[in-house]
Amino acid sequence: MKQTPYLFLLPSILFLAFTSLYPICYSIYYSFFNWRWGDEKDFIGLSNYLTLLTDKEFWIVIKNTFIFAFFACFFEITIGVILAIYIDRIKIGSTIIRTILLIPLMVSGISVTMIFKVMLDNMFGIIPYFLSFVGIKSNFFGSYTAAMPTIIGLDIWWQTSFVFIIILAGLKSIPNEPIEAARMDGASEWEITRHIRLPMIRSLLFLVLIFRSIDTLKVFDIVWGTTAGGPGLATEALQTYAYRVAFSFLEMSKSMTVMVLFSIVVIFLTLLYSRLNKDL
Amino acid sequence: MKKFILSILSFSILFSFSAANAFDWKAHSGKTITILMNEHPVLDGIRSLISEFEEDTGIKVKVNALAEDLYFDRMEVNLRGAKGADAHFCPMDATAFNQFGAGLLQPLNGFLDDPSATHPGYDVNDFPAGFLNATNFPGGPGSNYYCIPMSFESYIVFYNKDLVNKYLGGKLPETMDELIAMANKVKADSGGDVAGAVMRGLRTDTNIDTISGLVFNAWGDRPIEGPYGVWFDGDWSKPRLDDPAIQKGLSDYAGLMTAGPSDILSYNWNEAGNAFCAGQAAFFADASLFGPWFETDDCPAVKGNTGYMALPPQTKGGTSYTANWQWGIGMGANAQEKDAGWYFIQYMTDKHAEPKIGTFHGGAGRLSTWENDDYTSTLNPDYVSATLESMKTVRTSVVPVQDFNKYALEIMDVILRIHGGASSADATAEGNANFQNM
Amino acid sequence: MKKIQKHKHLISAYIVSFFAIAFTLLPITWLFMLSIKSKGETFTKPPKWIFDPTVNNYVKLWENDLFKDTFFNSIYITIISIVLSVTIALFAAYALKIYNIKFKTAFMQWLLLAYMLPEFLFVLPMFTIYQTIGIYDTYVGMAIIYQVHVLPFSIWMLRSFLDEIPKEIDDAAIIDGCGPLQAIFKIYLPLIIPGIVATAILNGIWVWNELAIALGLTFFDSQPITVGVASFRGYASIDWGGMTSSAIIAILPMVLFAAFAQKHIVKGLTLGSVKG
Repeated sequence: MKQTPYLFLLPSILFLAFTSLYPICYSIYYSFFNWRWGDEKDFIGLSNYLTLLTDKEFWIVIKNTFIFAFFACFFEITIGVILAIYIDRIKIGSTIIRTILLIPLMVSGISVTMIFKVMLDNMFGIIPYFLSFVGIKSNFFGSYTAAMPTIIGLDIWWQTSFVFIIILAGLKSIPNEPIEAARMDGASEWEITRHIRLPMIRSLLFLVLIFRSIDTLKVFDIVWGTTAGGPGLATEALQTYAYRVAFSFLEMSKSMTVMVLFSIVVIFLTLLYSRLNKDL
Repeated sequence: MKKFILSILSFSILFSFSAANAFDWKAHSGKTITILMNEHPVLDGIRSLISEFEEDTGIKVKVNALAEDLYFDRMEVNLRGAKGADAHFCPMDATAFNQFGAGLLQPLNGFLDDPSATHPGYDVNDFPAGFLNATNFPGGPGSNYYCIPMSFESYIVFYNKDLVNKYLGGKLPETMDELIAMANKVKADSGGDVAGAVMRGLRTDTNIDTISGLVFNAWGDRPIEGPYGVWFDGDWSKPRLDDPAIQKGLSDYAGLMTAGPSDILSYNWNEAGNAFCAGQAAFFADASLFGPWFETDDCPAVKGNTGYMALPPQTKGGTSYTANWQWGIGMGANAQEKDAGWYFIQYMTDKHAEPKIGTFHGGAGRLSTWENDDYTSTLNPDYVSATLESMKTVRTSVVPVQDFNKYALEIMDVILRIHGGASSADATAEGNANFQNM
Repeated sequence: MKKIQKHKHLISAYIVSFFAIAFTLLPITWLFMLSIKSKGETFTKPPKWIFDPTVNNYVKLWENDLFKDTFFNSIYITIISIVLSVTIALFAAYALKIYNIKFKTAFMQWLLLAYMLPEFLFVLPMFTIYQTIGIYDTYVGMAIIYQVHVLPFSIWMLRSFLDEIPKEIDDAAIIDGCGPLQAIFKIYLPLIIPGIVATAILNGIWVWNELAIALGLTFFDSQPITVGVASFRGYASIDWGGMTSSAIIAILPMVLFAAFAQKHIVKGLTLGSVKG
């Protein structure tokens, strides 16, 4: 039956259309109105966009989000790759090590926030307690300057395994011959890593970058659960900001405008990555 | 003759029976209601009475309790869904006003005026008119009550007696400036071991009531014109944050924050209260209803060690002023079990339950409760006298205008700017400008 | 010389592993320790190492109506999401493998975009229409919206597993005269059971841990465990017993998965990424 393939794809298309196209269209539509969860729904054209793009606060949120994404990705990828390189050497016990290191990835974002809220609590937390021994009076979530690094730290604890697992699998699938040959030639371990291993997993590295970069831009759980964007606006990210605008200020149209703008960025990045990936 | 008397007798017995049966606590037995509540001492009180309620009415209760800032978000979602909770914690201020304006709340007069729905002896007028009128909308004749008060709070100062003795030689401040200086002294002298004061330092609009307390204290006996509140000069287009009294009040708040712990910027009332409860602060200026909590076993560091005083006046021997606010219980227009929900509301707010729940929060609404020894005897007498004294000059912190929470957030931003080093003149001038833009 | 070198590298690998494991496990251990402390022993300065363990916090959780419901709600939502995604994806993956679809590239691109979209985008639009259709705050409603993320992933996964099946089997199926439905269920499905398991597990983990969408589209009837844990959140909630014990309950099933199904999870993550 010639229609079979399309019939088989139909459920996917229907579900995806409903769950992805409909929300985008709805959000774009209402971003041109002034809906505040009441009966008032007046067309106001590009007013929401103009208000947002000239709002100092909005740009702070954007800045925060990109700073978070940049540093979180940087550390997660670096640490994840380094971890993978080391653990690639291990044969005995590597399964157990891998299993244990997998655990943070299995934990939900809200649970991660609970863990670190209690550990970093200024008054009763275990880590400030240890820091006080070396004379550091610490202040994690409550400090304008330390809050963002703390949140980045949470994401590192949580998501580095993602990089680690994928890169490790990539390293393990590298054929042995070139490595043995290089060893025979007297190359050092570091040289082997730099000139053979890393280049061969180049596409995996790029892949990991794609996933982590977009994922970190979408940060919600760990910010919302700990500082809720505070102190002040120090850790407010795009999705937490959209949430606050919607549910604290009831400005539904404005919130959807934020999400439309954000989605445009995400879509752009995704398409860019796809194009780059093809060229790689 | 006998027959006549007999018939009269039986008729009157029948009549009194039917009168007694006009209201029946078990009328809705078998139903289940869902209530949405904030984690709060009032809820602890309610929880203590739920099994009694379930037994007396046969109505099963499902409690959905959330920590406060999440509660505020969820309450709004709840009221706008197709099906909502049958009773919820009602902030009796502009929030409720906005919800009323959007048609989200169930008017309660229909229940109150119906003898088969409300038990005789409920006596809603036992609540002071000022409390009930906070959610009497739209105001004036023909209005409806939308929430029944469950607890009121006025803003007072708690102090840790041991810490005051240790660092201040047992001397208490007699003016607000003295309080700020002493709190900062405690912080300095203790080497940061304990905080001089704890306050709500989190950037949120919900601090407005405590803030109002300090601002009213600086405002003194100047009149405040409603509905504009102290923040506007008789007109919504004329904010007056830069009024010297308001500048002083906001600076007072920031001054107390300076005596606070290093992470004060992340403190909501939970953390501030917890810090005081754990003996980590000498002073705590906030809602009176924390008093009973500090006297429980959950706070071994301050149990029996807590002092209570009204906000110190601006001048020695002057009058202290403060603000008041209420939590109440209300019902959404989208409640599914309205009649059973009303039973819950009236049960938890009647003369029988209020003294019991009141011992958890010390802010009972009914006048009769304050005369009830069961209630007052459970409270620290200093607490009772400090609260009652503050009630003499208390004013509502509520400003019934659409979106007041945005203004409230800006006011907190002014305080944060002052705390961060700006002059009060600059910070309030910026505040005025932002008010104009809203 | 070479032997010592080799050992040096292995030793450093084990040292690194040790620190990584400690760094990973200590926070979770501390969380667990707090969950078995009574309230008075939790808020001590300095923190207590030796204390009387108690299961009180867990008992309180079980008596907490809201939390108990959320646990089971999560189970239902997760199962329905998995079944839905795997079923739809199986047909789509088969179609993509066997047939020459004209819009294949565009379709794959769409999958990637749908997968990447930010979660909060869906909350407000779906809030209204879900209420109208009547699937707001239902298990099915949640399973449907979750497809936007788990369906693309499932299609990639199943497709890459199907791709591993040698062409001879494809040819054999044609020769046998199998219709597509028969082919899927009698030939291909049995061969990719490991792939289906991996997909199911990874989807299950994502759904179980999801928060933002759940916050928007569930309330009394179907709120999942993430919302249950979040209900203990205040800016500085003081119910550490509830916070920690609820978090442990939320983490436990996932940790068990990691322990018993790690091979599947790893294969799934790597394949899913490579083919994505």
